[in-house]
Amino acid sequence: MQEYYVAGLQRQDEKVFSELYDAYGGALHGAVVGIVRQHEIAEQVLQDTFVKIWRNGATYDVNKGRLYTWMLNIARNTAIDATRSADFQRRKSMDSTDQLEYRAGQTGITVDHIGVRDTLNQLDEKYRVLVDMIYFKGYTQEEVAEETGIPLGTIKTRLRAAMQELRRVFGSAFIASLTAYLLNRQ
Amino acid sequence: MDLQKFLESGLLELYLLDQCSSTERILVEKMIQQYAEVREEKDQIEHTLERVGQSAFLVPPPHLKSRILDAIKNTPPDPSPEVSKEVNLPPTNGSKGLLLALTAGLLLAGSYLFYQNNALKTQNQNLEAALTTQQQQLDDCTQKRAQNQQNYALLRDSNTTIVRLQKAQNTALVYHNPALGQTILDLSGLTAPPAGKYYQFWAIVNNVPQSMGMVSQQLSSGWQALPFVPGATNFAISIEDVPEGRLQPSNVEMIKVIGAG
Repeated sequence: MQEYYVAGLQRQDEKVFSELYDAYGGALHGAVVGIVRQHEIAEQVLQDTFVKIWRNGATYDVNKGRLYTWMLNIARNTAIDATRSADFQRRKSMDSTDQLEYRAGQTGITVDHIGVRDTLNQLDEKYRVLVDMIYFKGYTQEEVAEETGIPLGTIKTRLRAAMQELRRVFGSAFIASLTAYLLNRQ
Repeated sequence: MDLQKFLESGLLELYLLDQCSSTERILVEKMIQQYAEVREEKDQIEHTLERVGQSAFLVPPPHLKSRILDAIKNTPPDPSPEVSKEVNLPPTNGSKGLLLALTAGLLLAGSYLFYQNNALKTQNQNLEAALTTQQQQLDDCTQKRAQNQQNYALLRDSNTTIVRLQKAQNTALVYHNPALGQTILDLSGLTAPPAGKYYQFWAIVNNVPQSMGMVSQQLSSGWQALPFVPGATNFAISIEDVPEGRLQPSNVEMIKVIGAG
């Protein structure tokens, strides 16, 4: 499927781009809202993100990573720029997941099905904070170090451990949730 | 760097979250290229990131999609650095071919306009020179016309006396009018002086010659205005050997008393 989207981007196919938005708009919107935490700004950031994806789609190098990773980093960087330009005070809250306004997704798989908060809560606290700050809030590792007092080297290794833990937890949770969803549809 | 140590360092995760320094990025990309284990680990992390993203799925507002689709209609793709570097290569697709064609077209158009501009500049300079020449000719004609009108007025005036100075076939006519205070010389019948010689014109007042100036070398021009000398009773032309003439005539060639017929 990734090849289909990449080919569509490279030939500037609006129909494929529309499908790409349907497939990834929700995931990127969630990532953006986690960083900017204001829906109006998030809308503008998401629009800017997809315009950048459209403009730079032809330069995307499939050998450097998955399409989603490339789009995610565009969204994250655009969101971080927005918080800086708007003098956004994103450090006011540490608990982003509690403030996110989850709604049913277009694919039919909702956050409730997945239970992202429950899943994150399964992580060790030291990993949960790290994932929350770096992934959901867009902190740099230096900012995390400054905020938490954790040495940079430790942040790196903890992030590695957190991702492995997420892989384990999300893998089983995702499969379980997907199975439940598919069973409920029948 | 040792493979296991690298995988445990967390650099790969930071790389995929676009949080590496440039030095770290170079190292990670080198490790990805070098080790299949790193590539596999990278794929696993990316899948995890995508699952985390999909789990944090948040439905965008319904109006946003149409807004974005409208926005991209007016957004051309950015030319990539890679495209710029490949400008000298043969075109591999339509856009590169079009770019090369446009570049070549612009160069040709620029050259054409450059040469056209130079040609127009030259043409403009020629036209300006021609205009200056024509203006000078017009000024000359205007001056001659005024002189001719003055001469005709003198010729038609009843107080004008015509004095013919003649030696063989060599003739000069003097039109002298004391009332108007004008004297003009008709040179059309005067032959050119010998080589190295010059004509000088004289008025005789109380038997004393007074120079009225040198006769023009351009005899075919026809008329020459002379300074008016009151009380002149005779006119004479001498031949001198200096172009500025002399205070006294050295060799009177022609002399004629006014009214002598």
